Amino acid sequence: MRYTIATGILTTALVAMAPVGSAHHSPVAFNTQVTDFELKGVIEHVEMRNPHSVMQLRVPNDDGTTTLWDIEFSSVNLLLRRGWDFDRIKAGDQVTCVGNPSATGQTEMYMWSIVLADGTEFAR
Amino acid sequence: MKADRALAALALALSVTLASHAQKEPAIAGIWLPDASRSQRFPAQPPYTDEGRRIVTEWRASHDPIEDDPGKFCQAPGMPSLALGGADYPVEIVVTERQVTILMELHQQIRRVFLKQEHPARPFPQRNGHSVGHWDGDTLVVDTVGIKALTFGSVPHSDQAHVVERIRAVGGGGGALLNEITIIDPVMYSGAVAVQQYYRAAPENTRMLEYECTEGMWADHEAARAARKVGAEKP
Repeated sequence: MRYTIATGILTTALVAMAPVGSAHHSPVAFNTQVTDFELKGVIEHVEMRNPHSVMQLRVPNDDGTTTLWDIEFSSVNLLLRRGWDFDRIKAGDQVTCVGNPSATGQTEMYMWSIVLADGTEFAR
Repeated sequence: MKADRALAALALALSVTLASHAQKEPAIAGIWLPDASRSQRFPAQPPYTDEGRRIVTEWRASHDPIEDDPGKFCQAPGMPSLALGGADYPVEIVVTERQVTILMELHQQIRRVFLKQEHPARPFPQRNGHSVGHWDGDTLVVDTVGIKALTFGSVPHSDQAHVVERIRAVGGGGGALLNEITIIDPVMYSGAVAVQQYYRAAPENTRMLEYECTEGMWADHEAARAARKVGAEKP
């Protein structure tokens, strides 16, 4: 029994540690008509990579619970050229993400800009 | 004294030779960025043949645009789509006597344009096809055949696709590059489709980066492997 509980804890830990999967959504996955969809929360996981970068953001809800949102954004190559400072976007940071909401009601968004706690903004 | 003169003459000859080589650097060489503001897109309603329309309609009907998006699986569309540029990713053109090499950062695609050569009688089908080229003045004329049939990407095409490109620097001072692309594919299109793709010179300090695309797929595999291991350890 104790082993089962330990296994359950380990499984939960692995899921929590598991990197975000192969996120790359076609633009049709997002409502591109809405460009000011905003989420404020704490970064749990972030990876700058190709074809799209990925982030998981823990967002507080009005009822006191939280929701983990999957956020997709531009490729690491393009972000580098646009001056994003990756050392300043880390797990544990409080940030505001702005972009397109999911077109199908998922807890997902495509991010076009991020505002750090000190007001610094990186865009596109 | 004679030796000094000979040495001076040699140095002069060498500098003239080097200068003439420097002048010969073709204007299309360098790093370029796609310029969407001036470029044309492949038509949304190209002149499909009946067969071409059937192929495209069937593919679209059988693929979910979100779940079955080839981009999600790091699928590079190859030619002719890649001749139409790729988002904001740079393209580096390297010119040598016998080959022009076009290095596209997006998906790390490489095109080799063989100069002073002809196509093989039966080119092995590849995504970027087999390209031969020649110079028409300062314009590089590229002829590509042997392209593997592909229905996704901006230009759905059959293995009969034939692409002719005329690539030259425009606007004076090498500030822009124009690729006039003509796509002929009798299986898919009832006539030739011409598209103009412009590039602008990349800023001086631009450097090409690698583009590794499959890390997410590997992350999925690793997560699944870890989950399987945990499952196997259950009593």
